[in-house]
Amino acid sequence: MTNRFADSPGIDVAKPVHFQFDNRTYLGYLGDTLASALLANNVRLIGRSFKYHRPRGIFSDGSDEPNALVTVLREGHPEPNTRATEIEIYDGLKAWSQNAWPSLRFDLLAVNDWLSKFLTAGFYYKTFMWPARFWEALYEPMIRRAAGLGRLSDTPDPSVYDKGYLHPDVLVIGAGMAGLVCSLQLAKAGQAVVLVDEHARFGGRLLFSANATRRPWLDTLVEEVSKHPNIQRLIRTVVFGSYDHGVYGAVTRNTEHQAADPGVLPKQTYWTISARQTILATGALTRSIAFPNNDRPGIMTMSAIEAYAVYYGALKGASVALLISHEEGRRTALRLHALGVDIKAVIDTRSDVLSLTEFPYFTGSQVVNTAGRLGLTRIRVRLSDGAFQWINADYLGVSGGFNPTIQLTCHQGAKPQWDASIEAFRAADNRPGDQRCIGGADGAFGLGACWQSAIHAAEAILGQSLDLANPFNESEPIALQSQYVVDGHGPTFVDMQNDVTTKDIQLSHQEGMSSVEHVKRYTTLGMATDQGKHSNVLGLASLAQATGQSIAETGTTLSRPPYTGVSIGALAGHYRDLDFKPTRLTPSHQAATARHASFVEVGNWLRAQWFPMPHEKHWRETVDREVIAVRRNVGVCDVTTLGKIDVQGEDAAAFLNHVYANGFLKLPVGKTRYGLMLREDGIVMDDGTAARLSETQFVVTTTTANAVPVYRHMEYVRQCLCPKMDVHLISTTEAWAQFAVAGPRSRELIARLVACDVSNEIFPFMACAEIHLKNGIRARLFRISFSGELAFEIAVPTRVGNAFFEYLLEVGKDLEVTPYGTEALSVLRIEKGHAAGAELNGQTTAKQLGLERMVSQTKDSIGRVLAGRDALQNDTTCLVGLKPVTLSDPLVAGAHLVGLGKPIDAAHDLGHVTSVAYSPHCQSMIGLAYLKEGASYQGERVRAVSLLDHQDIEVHVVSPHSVDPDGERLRV
Amino acid sequence: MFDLLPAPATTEALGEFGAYTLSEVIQNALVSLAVPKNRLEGARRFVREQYGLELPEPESMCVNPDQSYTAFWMARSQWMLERPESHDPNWAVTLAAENIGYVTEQTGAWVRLDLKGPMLPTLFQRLANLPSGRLVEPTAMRTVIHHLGVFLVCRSSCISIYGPRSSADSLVRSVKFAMHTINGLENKYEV
Repeated sequence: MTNRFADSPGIDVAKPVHFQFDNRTYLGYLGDTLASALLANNVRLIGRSFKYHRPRGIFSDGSDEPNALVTVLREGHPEPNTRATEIEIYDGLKAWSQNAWPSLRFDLLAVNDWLSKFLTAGFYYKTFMWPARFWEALYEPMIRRAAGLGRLSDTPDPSVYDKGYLHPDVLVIGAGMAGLVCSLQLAKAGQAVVLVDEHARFGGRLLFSANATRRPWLDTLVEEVSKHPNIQRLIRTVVFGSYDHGVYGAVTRNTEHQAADPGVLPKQTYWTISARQTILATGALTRSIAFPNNDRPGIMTMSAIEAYAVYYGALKGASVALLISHEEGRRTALRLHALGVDIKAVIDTRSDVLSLTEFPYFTGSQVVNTAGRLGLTRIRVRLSDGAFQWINADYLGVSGGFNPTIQLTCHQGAKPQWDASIEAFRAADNRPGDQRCIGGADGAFGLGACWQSAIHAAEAILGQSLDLANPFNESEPIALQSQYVVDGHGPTFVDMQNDVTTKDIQLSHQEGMSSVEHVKRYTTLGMATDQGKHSNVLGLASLAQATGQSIAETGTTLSRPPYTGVSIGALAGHYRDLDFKPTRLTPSHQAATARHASFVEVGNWLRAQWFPMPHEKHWRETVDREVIAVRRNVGVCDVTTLGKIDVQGEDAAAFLNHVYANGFLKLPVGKTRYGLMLREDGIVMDDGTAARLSETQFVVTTTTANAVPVYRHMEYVRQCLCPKMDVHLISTTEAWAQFAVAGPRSRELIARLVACDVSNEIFPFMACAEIHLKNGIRARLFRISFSGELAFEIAVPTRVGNAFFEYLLEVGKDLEVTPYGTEALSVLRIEKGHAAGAELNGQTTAKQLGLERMVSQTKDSIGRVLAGRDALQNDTTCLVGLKPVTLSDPLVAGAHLVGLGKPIDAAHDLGHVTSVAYSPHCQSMIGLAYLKEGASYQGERVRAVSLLDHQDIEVHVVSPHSVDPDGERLRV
Repeated sequence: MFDLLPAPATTEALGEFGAYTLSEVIQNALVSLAVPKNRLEGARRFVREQYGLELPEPESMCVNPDQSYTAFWMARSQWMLERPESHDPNWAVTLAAENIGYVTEQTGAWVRLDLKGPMLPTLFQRLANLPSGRLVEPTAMRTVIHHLGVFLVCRSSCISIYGPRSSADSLVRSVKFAMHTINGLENKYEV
């Protein structure tokens, strides 16, 4: 075992782990993070900085890490910008440093560091202005190549992700001492608690700093929490966002701590947590101090030094110095010394404190410079008497104070308030009412205060006193005298991740960026993956120094979600590829699949588009055959996808009379009527049919696309506009498999199936009935036609739909029955001149469709009044048919209509083509179009122009009804 | 004529998945019953006397003593009733004739998936945005799984998911993914 202190609680030395960093194999132990294992292997140089390519090492021990970002190979996929401080190592782990070329130790782009005097804030904005065309072609690619963090692989993420939902009474974020104590008390009182922590173990900072007497207490507490049935524990989980109404977003890293099989189990789970109350026990981060050359590998926060030494047992044999400004720093130094850490010096910025004798202790002193090309070797200290001294050290732990982790309180707009008593920002009073901060997050930095704040929060939620004695009676004053920025020679970094220095802040102020929000955007302070967790306050302090204001007067920027980066994959969950959305299959899907049907997505539905025969080489060949089969014999098409709404009640007819523009009150039982539904503004909403099955029951059909909107609209009318009507709606789209049986021989086919007379005399056009098939199965029969041919629609229970479809094709073989798909359906309806989705586009009026007489003026209905407004009535646009003058010319949907010899511009636009199809009946393309003054153009010629398709052809304006304009066929 | 046997809604493989069992129930008939206010008492009396059921309150279900009938709340003054189809293949017509309310045939509209296994509320944490702790008999909830509107009916032996029949395969895939996730994470990873 190398470089490890004995009995380190965070690792299991009996379980060695081999991993690779930059293609070199290292030894670590189970429980190590990549950061701790590398430090234990004396690897301090982890990466290069964003802009200047300066050598960088590990700065912290958690999700706040700004420097140690690496690329990890996960499930065969490189994942960039992963924090080494959060990666738990496992056998076979492979990680690489980023942003260095050709190697981490020798990075050619480190020349940027030499040029840093010129690469100040706003450099790009000022320099790469001219010539403008160079920006996209040259400057931006060049800058992006030189700067940046990791690189995306440009390949799909192979990992699986998951989503979940939690509804606790109380969400406790952070399982440090305060979070554990509060959770336990709430759980004991019967509250359902979800306890979340971003680390692999509960205990928080106490894991790293607990002495021999406190550790058993902590272990007992963790065990009690772990066993309590009212507490759901989520480890390795970051709550990244706080949203309205007590909703929080969190991500759990499920499998990233072990080698995983690609694409088998969800790497991460995205949780939506809806909580009645939320406790932020998120602790506080140690705040660094900005001094010249404060970014060398080996310089990190004081708490990180303690974590790596005490918890992971690393740093054995290393020489350590500490730069502190408070009593907790002294206590940390003593704990490290007791562990056996070689403390070379403690530099205390405070003057009014006593020195210690265990190690060199310099009061009233400051670190003013450091040395070491690829890692810290020495620090230069300005002593209280003004003298300077170089001190050798491998590591420097820094703490100038503490920043409560209150980002989640800001996500809904509450700006933190500066609290001079703790010299830090505290959660604003106007934060969401369900949020309570406890422990370090509330500025309670001592254990006793921390425990007390946890109990107070539990008591407030429970509404009762818990009457518990504080187990931490000892007083542990912090005695903080904050230190933020130390002047001197050399770059002084306030934001390591974006390479922002105090000089940048000062420059931006000189250039007029007086607001902290402007400074942030001009310098990029606080951006990128660490979201300014360490840089924010130091940046504000630097700005305050420049402006001569206090930090409180300077104000702060507002944290927004996410607290840490969230994978796009986690946001998507497992809703990708085949499961991106649910798929709706028609009842005859299996039969269609067996016939090699080509399918088309219609909303979530998969509909058979056409049914190719083996000899057919082109889809048009297939569709033409299907269309001809319907016109000559009989075809069958699954039309289940059309919306079906069961309307029942004493007032069902009156209700439909109000919803539809045309009348329904007098529709006899056993009859179907075409209905036109308008929006309140008079525009056509949808069309369909309503069949009256009894005095109190109708079946309304809608277009496939509008099935849900129409149902929603009808429910709105029922509940809000007609609440006193006795009417009940329920969607039955899924309950009935419905098939169009169309063609001259359709009656013959239907007659073979049903146990009733379907002759024209008994069952005329637009008749409907609830019937039985010959085998006793209940069915519904409608004499309606979308194709213009004699046609029926027959509905059977969905569960027998596939078998029924098969049977139709079997029993109609001698009638040459043909299955047809949506494409033939479309051709048939265009030939007949029926409007569909392309015509009912949300801007269409009844008048444009030639249906203005359907808007009854003898009754009130939705949309009637506004359908009569001048703007709509004076519009001369109407639906027309089109046929190319040269029959072989193609016609495209979307083409615009222009008069012969007129220029092609908006001023001369006469309308547009809505639907086109090749009509086997007309032996040419035909189309439907909206045309201004359409009635006067009948028989005339216009041009159909599509600049996108490079087409400009002459077309005849004809009746929309290319087939059977008098409607004789469907009435036979 | 053609085979009358009802076809299952899903083509996905069902059965045991680790600690869980997922099956499709196809032998039952479903009808929805919407009752106008002035007929509510009569409807309650009818289903009590004829089926041994109480029309349940919102978010709850009821089964009759021999467990053959189920009723669960769908919407205001509207319930779903379920029983074996073999009792009466034309149940919707028969019930409508009783004139206790407005009856709609629902058998073919839904797929019923029965889910058995340990800690089903934990499983549903990965399926639906609802307080899964309330998923105990006799709860019946309306919720969304994989963008699909569903009813969850909590029985003593299982939780029944009633989802749209046309999307049965998508629904099953979603449930299987959740089962697979929990089985895998609990067996292989510390969660």
